[in-house]
Amino acid sequence: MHLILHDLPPMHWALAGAGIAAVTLTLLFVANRRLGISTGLEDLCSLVLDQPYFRRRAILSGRPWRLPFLAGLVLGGLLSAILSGGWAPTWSLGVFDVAIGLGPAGKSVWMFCGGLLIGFGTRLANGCTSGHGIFGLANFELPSLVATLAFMAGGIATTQFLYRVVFHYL
Amino acid sequence: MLGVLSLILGTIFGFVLSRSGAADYGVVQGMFLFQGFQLYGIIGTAVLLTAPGVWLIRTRGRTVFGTPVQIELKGLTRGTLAGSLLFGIGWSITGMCPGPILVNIGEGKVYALAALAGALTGAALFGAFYRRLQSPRVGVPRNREIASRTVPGIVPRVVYSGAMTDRARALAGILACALLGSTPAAAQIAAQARSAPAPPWTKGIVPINPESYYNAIECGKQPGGDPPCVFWDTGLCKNPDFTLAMYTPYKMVAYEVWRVVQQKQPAPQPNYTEAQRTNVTVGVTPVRGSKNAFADLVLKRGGRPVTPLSRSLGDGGGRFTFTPPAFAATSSLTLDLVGKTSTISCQIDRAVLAQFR
Repeated sequence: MHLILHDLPPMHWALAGAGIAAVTLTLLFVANRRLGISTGLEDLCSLVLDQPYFRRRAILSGRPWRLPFLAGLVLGGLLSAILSGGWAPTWSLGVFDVAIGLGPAGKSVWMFCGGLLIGFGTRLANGCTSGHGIFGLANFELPSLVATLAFMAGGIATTQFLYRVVFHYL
Repeated sequence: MLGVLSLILGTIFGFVLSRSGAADYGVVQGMFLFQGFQLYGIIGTAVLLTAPGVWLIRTRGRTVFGTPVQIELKGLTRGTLAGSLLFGIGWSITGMCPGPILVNIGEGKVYALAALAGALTGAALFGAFYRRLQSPRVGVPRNREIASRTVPGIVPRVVYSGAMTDRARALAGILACALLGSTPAAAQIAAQARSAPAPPWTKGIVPINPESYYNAIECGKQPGGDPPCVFWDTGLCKNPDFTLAMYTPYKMVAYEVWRVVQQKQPAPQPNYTEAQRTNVTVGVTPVRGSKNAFADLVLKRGGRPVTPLSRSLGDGGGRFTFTPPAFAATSSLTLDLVGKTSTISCQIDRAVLAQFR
């Protein structure tokens, strides 16, 4: 399966996994931080909101590494696009365009609703794919096993339901 | 320095997510439809390679700069399951988890901005309502003190400094929490019994029976001003804020004998019927100088609170009475010492409970 980005063939999964492990371990060994991206959502919230939840020391003390890391994620995507054939804004969404086929307005609403669940769910669960799925599992943390099984189950059920039942794509 | 390193690591991470398909809508749906191995391979490889690395770093106990390695632990709450299910649904709908949202924005996918707006709104909603949403474990009263300790991010931070036992790690965790100072924090400690006092006893706290009764009388005959079989609870769940004392049927009998023998009198036979009626009381007193005011004690087994027979607060501490089976050495239990500014959670393993008397 090729990527939406310039129809590139994806890099080998083993290489990608090794790259993620290298970043995770460097972050711990050098910066003494556990990998976790969804807490960064709170960091971003804390820039504009002053509810006590966003004023916690755990958030404010994480800013010096989390905000640059989030910026790096955007930069990484940007470099990836530039180095593979140029950067251009796009609404293209691969199999979604074939199976579900909403226009820009529909996609925005769709993505916003999905985003709500991501933002709310990862805060309630205190972690996402990176903090629970990669670091937590690698550190043998029970809450992370529960979280990983749950978000995989949620994702599998939803995609199966959307693509097989609602939109009869398969 | 930290910022530059994080920016570089984030960029590498983002590039890998972009090129591997982890940030690609189609690859994500392929994973959930069981049509592609790609993302399972990526996550599996990442975990398999990270695990021994984290273990090595923890064993070494020091970062490359020699500072103690600290890892914030995530607590298991009711929200862990429910929140992850919601997140899984969101991941499926958008084809992105939080990292890839940002990667897609970098790639120029316009709709990812809508996903980011949604995710920030979702996090902000959570922040606005979290006290009502985040109750710690199934069935625990949702009072303010308890809710506040489940705020993500202030769960225990474990410090690793070389090859340590789990107990040493837990104690190091308290130290780290104490160093955090005024921040509301939750500490986790593991209880230890005083070492092997005579006469031996391995059945834990039980309603008085002939065996425990005569064992307790033998215990009371032990010499010295502080026999560990009588005062077995000294230093239990030791922490900077609260001191615990346990009153049990066995202790009542042993103490009575000890008190009389100390006065050079012959060992008495304490009232058996009275001992049978004695329940187990946990007394909590504040440690002098501690600013963390005591609010409540919660005994939990299997994550569920055990309701005390009686509960009274006073003089900055409290007394909580339970039936002996509440402390039976059948499974581990947790004593949560809830304070106004932080909660100390003391885990008592089955093997330790068995040494209680």
